Amino acid sequence: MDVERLQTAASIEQVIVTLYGRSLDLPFIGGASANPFLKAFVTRTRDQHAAHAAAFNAALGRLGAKPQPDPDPVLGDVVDQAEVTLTGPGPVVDLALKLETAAAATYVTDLSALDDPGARRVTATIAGIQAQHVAVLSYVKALLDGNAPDLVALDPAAAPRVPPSAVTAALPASAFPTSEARPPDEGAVR
Amino acid sequence: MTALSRRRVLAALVGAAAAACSSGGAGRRLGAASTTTTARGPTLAAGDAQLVVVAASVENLASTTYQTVLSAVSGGKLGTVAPAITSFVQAAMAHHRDHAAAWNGLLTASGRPAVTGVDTALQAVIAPAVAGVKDGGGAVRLALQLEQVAAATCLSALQVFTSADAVGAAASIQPVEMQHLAVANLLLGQYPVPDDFATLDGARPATDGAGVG
Repeated sequence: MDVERLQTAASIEQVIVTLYGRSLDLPFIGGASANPFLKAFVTRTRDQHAAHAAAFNAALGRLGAKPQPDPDPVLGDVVDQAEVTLTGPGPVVDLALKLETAAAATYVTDLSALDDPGARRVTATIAGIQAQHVAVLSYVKALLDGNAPDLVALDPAAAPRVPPSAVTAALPASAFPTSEARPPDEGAVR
Repeated sequence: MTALSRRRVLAALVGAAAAACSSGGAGRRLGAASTTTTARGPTLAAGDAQLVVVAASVENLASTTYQTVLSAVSGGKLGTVAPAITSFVQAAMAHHRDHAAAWNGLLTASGRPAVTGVDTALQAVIAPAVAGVKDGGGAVRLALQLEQVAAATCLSALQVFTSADAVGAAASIQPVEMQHLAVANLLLGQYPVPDDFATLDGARPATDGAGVG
Protein backbone atom coordinates (compact mmCIF):
# COMPACT_ATOMS: atom_id res chain seq x y z
CA MET A 1 0.00 0.00 0.00
CA ASP A 2 2.89 2.39 0.70
CA VAL A 3 4.12 1.86 -2.85
CA GLU A 4 0.76 2.76 -4.39
CA ARG A 5 0.49 5.86 -2.25
CA LEU A 6 3.99 7.04 -3.12
CA GLN A 7 3.42 6.38 -6.82
CA THR A 8 0.16 8.32 -6.69
CA ALA A 9 1.95 11.14 -4.90
CA ALA A 10 4.63 11.25 -7.60
CA SER A 11 1.95 11.23 -10.28
CA ILE A 12 0.14 14.16 -8.70
CA GLU A 13 3.41 16.09 -8.62
CA GLN A 14 3.89 15.39 -12.33
CA VAL A 15 0.46 16.84 -13.11
CA ILE A 16 1.19 20.02 -11.20
CA VAL A 17 4.57 20.40 -12.89
CA THR A 18 2.74 20.13 -16.21
CA LEU A 19 0.14 22.71 -15.23
CA TYR A 20 2.68 25.27 -14.11
CA GLY A 21 4.88 24.56 -17.12
CA ARG A 22 1.99 25.14 -19.53
CA SER A 23 0.93 28.23 -17.59
CA LEU A 24 4.34 29.79 -18.09
CA ASP A 25 3.73 29.57 -21.83
CA LEU A 26 0.71 31.85 -21.41
CA PRO A 27 1.52 35.55 -21.83
CA PHE A 28 -0.40 36.61 -18.71
CA ILE A 29 1.58 34.19 -16.52
CA GLY A 30 4.99 33.82 -18.12
CA GLY A 31 5.14 36.79 -20.49
CA ALA A 32 6.94 40.10 -20.17
CA SER A 33 3.79 41.87 -19.00
CA ALA A 34 2.75 39.21 -16.50
CA ASN A 35 2.43 39.98 -12.81
CA PRO A 36 6.03 39.58 -11.53
CA PHE A 37 5.08 37.84 -8.31
CA LEU A 38 2.74 35.42 -10.04
CA LYS A 39 5.37 34.62 -12.66
CA ALA A 40 8.02 34.02 -10.00
CA PHE A 41 5.65 31.94 -7.88
CA VAL A 42 4.60 29.72 -10.78
CA THR A 43 8.20 29.23 -11.82
CA ARG A 44 9.52 28.43 -8.37
CA THR A 45 6.53 26.30 -7.42
CA ARG A 46 6.90 24.25 -10.60
CA ASP A 47 10.50 23.57 -9.60
CA GLN A 48 9.46 22.64 -6.06
CA HIS A 49 6.98 20.12 -7.41
CA ALA A 50 9.64 18.63 -9.64
CA ALA A 51 11.80 18.22 -6.54
CA HIS A 52 8.89 16.60 -4.71
CA ALA A 53 8.29 14.15 -7.56
CA ALA A 54 11.96 13.21 -7.44
CA ALA A 55 11.78 12.77 -3.66
CA PHE A 56 8.75 10.48 -3.88
CA ASN A 57 10.43 8.45 -6.61
CA ALA A 58 13.59 8.20 -4.53
CA ALA A 59 11.49 6.89 -1.64
CA LEU A 60 10.03 4.32 -4.00
CA GLY A 61 13.53 3.31 -5.01
CA ARG A 62 14.47 2.76 -1.37
CA LEU A 63 11.51 0.40 -1.12
CA GLY A 64 12.67 -1.46 -4.22
CA ALA A 65 9.58 -0.30 -6.14
CA LYS A 66 9.10 1.21 -9.58
CA PRO A 67 9.18 4.99 -9.86
CA GLN A 68 6.20 6.83 -11.30
CA PRO A 69 7.26 9.22 -14.08
CA ASP A 70 3.75 9.71 -15.47
CA PRO A 71 0.96 12.07 -14.41
CA ASP A 72 -2.08 11.05 -12.40
CA PRO A 73 -4.53 10.08 -15.16
CA VAL A 74 -7.61 11.64 -13.60
CA LEU A 75 -5.99 14.94 -12.65
CA GLY A 76 -4.12 14.95 -15.95
CA ASP A 77 -7.46 14.89 -17.76
CA VAL A 78 -8.66 17.74 -15.59
CA VAL A 79 -5.69 19.84 -16.68
CA ASP A 80 -6.07 18.88 -20.35
CA GLN A 81 -9.76 19.73 -20.39
CA ALA A 82 -9.26 23.01 -18.54
CA GLU A 83 -6.54 24.28 -20.85
CA VAL A 84 -8.93 26.20 -23.13
CA THR A 85 -10.45 27.93 -20.12
CA LEU A 86 -7.14 29.42 -18.98
CA THR A 87 -7.81 32.87 -20.38
CA GLY A 88 -6.34 34.96 -17.55
CA PRO A 89 -4.57 34.73 -14.20
CA GLY A 90 -7.80 34.00 -12.31
CA PRO A 91 -8.59 30.67 -13.99
CA VAL A 92 -4.95 29.59 -13.69
CA VAL A 93 -4.97 30.35 -9.98
CA ASP A 94 -8.28 28.51 -9.58
CA LEU A 95 -6.99 25.38 -11.31
CA ALA A 96 -3.69 25.47 -9.45
CA LEU A 97 -5.57 25.85 -6.18
CA LYS A 98 -7.68 22.81 -6.99
CA LEU A 99 -4.62 20.67 -7.71
CA GLU A 100 -2.55 21.94 -4.80
CA THR A 101 -5.45 21.31 -2.43
CA ALA A 102 -5.79 17.78 -3.75
CA ALA A 103 -2.06 17.19 -3.34
CA ALA A 104 -1.92 18.48 0.23
CA ALA A 105 -5.08 16.61 1.24
CA THR A 106 -3.73 13.40 -0.25
CA TYR A 107 -0.45 13.67 1.65
CA VAL A 108 -2.15 14.53 4.94
CA THR A 109 -4.26 11.41 4.48
CA ASP A 110 -1.22 9.37 3.47
CA LEU A 111 0.64 10.32 6.63
CA SER A 112 -1.90 8.42 8.69
CA ALA A 113 -1.67 5.36 6.46
CA LEU A 114 1.99 4.94 5.53
CA ASP A 115 3.84 2.14 7.32
CA ASP A 116 7.40 2.78 6.16
CA PRO A 117 9.18 5.41 8.29
CA GLY A 118 11.10 6.73 5.29
CA ALA A 119 7.91 7.13 3.27
CA ARG A 120 6.27 8.97 6.12
CA ARG A 121 9.31 11.18 6.61
CA VAL A 122 9.45 12.36 3.01
CA THR A 123 5.69 12.87 2.84
CA ALA A 124 5.76 14.90 6.04
CA THR A 125 8.37 17.29 4.66
CA ILE A 126 6.30 17.82 1.52
CA ALA A 127 2.72 18.07 2.84
CA GLY A 128 3.37 21.34 4.61
CA ILE A 129 4.92 22.91 1.51
CA GLN A 130 1.83 22.01 -0.52
CA ALA A 131 -0.28 23.56 2.21
CA GLN A 132 1.78 26.73 1.85
CA HIS A 133 1.09 26.75 -1.88
CA VAL A 134 -2.62 26.45 -1.08
CA ALA A 135 -2.41 29.39 1.31
CA VAL A 136 -0.57 31.60 -1.17
CA LEU A 137 -2.96 30.78 -4.00
CA SER A 138 -5.97 31.39 -1.73
CA TYR A 139 -4.48 34.75 -0.76
CA VAL A 140 -3.87 35.66 -4.39
CA LYS A 141 -7.33 34.49 -5.41
CA ALA A 142 -8.92 36.70 -2.74
CA LEU A 143 -6.96 39.70 -4.02
CA LEU A 144 -7.86 39.01 -7.65
CA ASP A 145 -11.51 38.40 -6.79
CA GLY A 146 -11.46 41.63 -4.79
CA ASN A 147 -10.15 43.53 -7.81
CA ALA A 148 -6.84 44.28 -6.12
CA PRO A 149 -4.29 42.78 -8.53
CA ASP A 150 -1.80 45.50 -7.59
CA LEU A 151 -1.50 43.87 -4.18
CA VAL A 152 -0.36 40.57 -5.72
CA ALA A 153 3.24 41.49 -5.04
CA LEU A 154 6.08 41.16 -2.58
CA ASP A 155 5.81 44.64 -1.14
CA PRO A 156 6.67 45.28 2.51
CA ALA A 157 4.71 48.52 2.35
CA ALA A 158 1.52 46.88 1.06
CA ALA A 159 0.28 45.36 4.33
CA PRO A 160 -1.89 48.36 5.30
CA ARG A 161 -3.83 47.98 2.04
CA VAL A 162 -4.24 44.19 2.15
CA PRO A 163 -7.85 43.33 2.99
CA PRO A 164 -8.23 41.06 6.01
CA SER A 165 -10.34 38.79 3.80
CA ALA A 166 -7.16 37.75 1.96
CA VAL A 167 -5.65 36.56 5.24
CA THR A 168 -8.74 34.69 6.33
CA ALA A 169 -9.01 33.09 2.90
CA ALA A 170 -5.45 31.84 3.26
CA LEU A 171 -5.99 30.58 6.82
CA PRO A 172 -9.49 29.11 6.79
CA ALA A 173 -9.13 26.33 9.35
CA SER A 174 -6.92 25.05 12.12
CA ALA A 175 -6.83 21.50 10.72
CA PHE A 176 -5.98 20.85 7.11
CA PRO A 177 -9.07 19.31 5.45
CA THR A 178 -8.76 15.98 3.70
CA SER A 179 -12.00 15.94 1.72
CA GLU A 180 -10.18 16.55 -1.58
CA ALA A 181 -7.68 13.69 -1.16
CA ARG A 182 -7.19 11.50 -4.21
CA PRO A 183 -7.72 7.73 -4.01
CA PRO A 184 -4.47 6.06 -2.88
CA ASP A 185 -4.06 3.95 -6.01
CA GLU A 186 -5.20 6.52 -8.57
CA GLY A 187 -1.69 7.17 -9.84
CA ALA A 188 -0.14 3.78 -9.17
CA VAL A 189 2.03 2.20 -11.86
CA ARG A 190 -0.15 -0.23 -13.82
CA MET B 1 -13.57 31.98 15.45
CA THR B 2 -17.23 31.38 14.77
CA ALA B 3 -19.07 28.39 16.20
CA LEU B 4 -19.47 27.02 12.68
CA SER B 5 -15.80 27.20 11.79
CA ARG B 6 -14.87 25.72 15.15
CA ARG B 7 -17.15 22.77 14.46
CA ARG B 8 -15.47 22.34 11.09
CA VAL B 9 -12.07 22.36 12.74
CA LEU B 10 -13.01 19.77 15.28
CA ALA B 11 -14.68 17.66 12.62
CA ALA B 12 -11.51 17.80 10.54
CA LEU B 13 -9.33 16.83 13.48
CA VAL B 14 -11.62 13.97 14.32
CA GLY B 15 -11.58 12.97 10.67
CA ALA B 16 -7.80 12.93 10.65
CA ALA B 17 -7.73 10.70 13.66
CA ALA B 18 -10.40 8.48 12.18
CA ALA B 19 -8.32 8.11 9.04
CA ALA B 20 -5.36 7.18 11.19
CA CYS B 21 -7.43 4.65 13.04
CA SER B 22 -8.83 3.12 9.87
CA SER B 23 -5.32 2.26 8.76
CA GLY B 24 -4.24 1.11 12.18
CA GLY B 25 -7.42 -0.73 12.99
CA ALA B 26 -7.68 0.82 16.43
CA GLY B 27 -11.08 2.38 15.84
CA ARG B 28 -10.41 5.30 18.16
CA ARG B 29 -11.33 8.95 17.74
CA LEU B 30 -9.43 12.05 18.69
CA GLY B 31 -10.78 13.78 21.79
CA ALA B 32 -9.97 17.16 20.34
CA ALA B 33 -11.58 19.53 22.81
CA SER B 34 -11.40 17.61 26.05
CA THR B 35 -9.37 19.07 28.87
CA THR B 36 -10.34 16.67 31.59
CA THR B 37 -8.69 13.39 32.39
CA THR B 38 -10.68 10.36 31.33
CA ALA B 39 -9.95 6.68 31.74
CA ARG B 40 -10.64 5.44 28.23
CA GLY B 41 -7.46 3.43 28.10
CA PRO B 42 -4.02 4.21 26.71
CA THR B 43 -4.01 5.48 23.14
CA LEU B 44 -0.51 6.94 23.28
CA ALA B 45 2.83 5.25 23.60
CA ALA B 46 4.89 6.75 26.41
CA GLY B 47 7.38 8.31 24.01
CA ASP B 48 4.57 9.81 21.98
CA ALA B 49 2.98 11.25 25.10
CA GLN B 50 6.21 13.08 25.96
CA LEU B 51 6.21 14.73 22.55
CA VAL B 52 2.51 15.55 22.75
CA VAL B 53 3.17 17.36 26.03
CA VAL B 54 5.84 19.45 24.32
CA ALA B 55 3.61 20.14 21.34
CA ALA B 56 0.75 21.25 23.57
CA SER B 57 3.05 23.50 25.58
CA VAL B 58 4.38 25.13 22.40
CA GLU B 59 0.80 25.72 21.22
CA ASN B 60 -0.07 27.24 24.59
CA LEU B 61 2.89 29.58 24.37
CA ALA B 62 1.96 30.58 20.83
CA SER B 63 -1.64 31.37 21.70
CA THR B 64 -0.75 33.32 24.84
CA THR B 65 1.90 35.25 22.94
CA TYR B 66 -0.58 36.19 20.25
CA GLN B 67 -3.02 37.23 22.97
CA THR B 68 -0.34 39.51 24.38
CA VAL B 69 0.19 41.01 20.93
CA LEU B 70 -3.55 41.53 20.44
CA SER B 71 -3.78 43.26 23.80
CA ALA B 72 -0.94 45.55 22.76
CA VAL B 73 -2.71 46.29 19.49
CA SER B 74 -6.01 47.09 21.17
CA GLY B 75 -4.18 49.20 23.76
CA GLY B 76 -2.57 51.25 21.02
CA LYS B 77 0.93 50.24 22.08
CA LEU B 78 1.97 49.22 18.56
CA GLY B 79 0.72 52.33 16.80
CA THR B 80 -1.49 51.88 13.77
CA VAL B 81 -1.52 48.20 12.86
CA ALA B 82 -2.71 47.04 9.46
CA PRO B 83 -6.09 45.28 9.66
CA ALA B 84 -4.62 42.34 7.74
CA ILE B 85 -1.97 41.91 10.43
CA THR B 86 -4.57 42.01 13.19
CA SER B 87 -6.60 39.46 11.26
CA PHE B 88 -3.54 37.24 10.94
CA VAL B 89 -2.81 37.37 14.66
CA GLN B 90 -6.44 36.59 15.50
CA ALA B 91 -6.57 33.63 13.12
CA ALA B 92 -3.25 32.20 14.26
CA MET B 93 -4.20 32.55 17.91
CA ALA B 94 -7.48 30.72 17.37
CA HIS B 95 -5.74 27.97 15.46
CA HIS B 96 -3.14 27.44 18.15
CA ARG B 97 -5.86 27.21 20.79
CA ASP B 98 -7.54 24.51 18.71
CA HIS B 99 -4.23 22.70 18.30
CA ALA B 100 -3.58 22.77 22.03
CA ALA B 101 -7.07 21.36 22.57
CA ALA B 102 -6.37 18.60 20.07
CA TRP B 103 -3.09 17.63 21.73
CA ASN B 104 -4.71 17.76 25.15
CA GLY B 105 -7.55 15.62 23.87
CA LEU B 106 -5.01 12.92 23.08
CA LEU B 107 -3.48 13.19 26.52
CA THR B 108 -6.73 13.06 28.45
CA ALA B 109 -8.09 10.24 26.33
CA SER B 110 -5.12 8.18 27.41
CA GLY B 111 -5.66 9.00 31.08
CA ARG B 112 -3.03 11.70 31.30
CA PRO B 113 -3.54 15.28 32.50
CA ALA B 114 -3.99 18.08 30.01
CA VAL B 115 -1.16 20.59 29.60
CA THR B 116 -2.15 24.09 30.65
CA GLY B 117 1.35 25.57 30.93
CA VAL B 118 3.84 26.71 28.34
CA ASP B 119 7.22 25.46 27.14
CA THR B 120 9.37 27.42 29.56
CA ALA B 121 12.60 26.85 27.66
CA LEU B 122 11.03 28.35 24.56
CA GLN B 123 9.40 31.06 26.61
CA ALA B 124 12.84 32.19 27.74
CA VAL B 125 13.69 32.79 24.10
CA ILE B 126 10.39 34.30 23.07
CA ALA B 127 9.82 36.68 25.98
CA PRO B 128 12.61 39.11 24.99
CA ALA B 129 11.34 39.04 21.43
CA VAL B 130 7.82 39.90 22.62
CA ALA B 131 9.22 42.82 24.59
CA GLY B 132 10.93 44.03 21.43
CA VAL B 133 7.75 44.23 19.36
CA LYS B 134 7.06 47.88 18.67
CA ASP B 135 4.78 47.79 15.63
CA GLY B 136 2.72 45.54 13.39
CA GLY B 137 5.73 44.44 11.37
CA GLY B 138 7.48 43.44 14.56
CA ALA B 139 4.48 41.37 15.55
CA VAL B 140 4.66 39.48 12.25
CA ARG B 141 8.40 38.92 12.61
CA LEU B 142 7.73 37.47 16.06
CA ALA B 143 5.08 35.26 14.46
CA LEU B 144 7.65 33.92 12.00
CA GLN B 145 9.82 32.85 14.92
CA LEU B 146 6.95 31.19 16.76
CA GLU B 147 5.46 29.47 13.74
CA GLN B 148 8.78 28.01 12.62
CA VAL B 149 9.19 26.43 16.05
CA ALA B 150 5.62 25.14 16.07
CA ALA B 151 5.86 23.71 12.56
CA ALA B 152 9.25 22.11 13.13
CA THR B 153 8.23 20.62 16.47
CA CYS B 154 5.18 19.10 14.85
CA LEU B 155 7.22 17.76 11.93
CA SER B 156 9.77 16.28 14.30
CA ALA B 157 7.05 14.53 16.27
CA LEU B 158 5.37 13.33 13.10
CA GLN B 159 8.52 11.53 12.07
CA VAL B 160 8.73 9.49 15.26
CA PHE B 161 5.18 9.08 16.53
CA THR B 162 4.03 5.47 16.75
CA SER B 163 0.42 6.04 17.86
CA ALA B 164 -2.12 6.39 15.07
CA ASP B 165 -4.06 9.14 16.82
CA ALA B 166 -0.92 11.20 17.36
CA VAL B 167 0.13 10.80 13.73
CA GLY B 168 -3.32 11.86 12.57
CA ALA B 169 -3.31 14.97 14.74
CA ALA B 170 0.20 16.01 13.73
CA ALA B 171 -0.56 15.39 10.06
CA SER B 172 -3.50 17.77 10.14
CA ILE B 173 -1.82 20.44 12.30
CA GLN B 174 1.68 20.76 10.80
CA PRO B 175 0.46 21.98 7.39
CA VAL B 176 -1.54 24.73 9.09
CA GLU B 177 1.54 25.96 10.98
CA MET B 178 3.31 26.05 7.63
CA GLN B 179 0.47 28.14 6.21
CA HIS B 180 0.91 30.61 9.06
CA LEU B 181 4.54 30.95 8.04
CA ALA B 182 3.61 31.58 4.41
CA VAL B 183 1.09 34.29 5.23
CA ALA B 184 3.45 35.96 7.70
CA ASN B 185 6.08 36.13 4.99
CA LEU B 186 3.57 37.62 2.55
CA LEU B 187 2.62 40.32 5.03
CA LEU B 188 6.30 41.20 5.39
CA GLY B 189 6.77 41.33 1.63
CA GLN B 190 8.96 38.23 1.70
CA TYR B 191 8.80 35.17 -0.52
CA PRO B 192 6.16 32.93 1.10
CA VAL B 193 7.50 29.45 0.30
CA PRO B 194 11.28 29.74 0.52
CA ASP B 195 11.98 26.06 1.23
CA ASP B 196 11.39 23.10 -1.09
CA PHE B 197 10.93 20.83 1.92
CA ALA B 198 9.82 21.57 5.46
CA THR B 199 12.74 21.73 7.88
CA LEU B 200 13.33 20.76 11.49
CA ASP B 201 14.99 24.09 12.27
CA GLY B 202 13.86 25.23 15.71
CA ALA B 203 12.08 22.01 16.69
CA ARG B 204 11.76 21.71 20.44
CA PRO B 205 13.18 18.53 22.00
CA ALA B 206 11.21 16.03 24.07
CA THR B 207 13.21 17.16 27.10
CA ASP B 208 11.29 20.45 27.05
CA GLY B 209 8.37 18.48 28.47
CA ALA B 210 10.09 18.40 31.86
CA GLY B 211 10.00 22.17 31.98
CA VAL B 212 6.38 22.83 31.15
CA GLY B 213 5.16 25.45 33.54
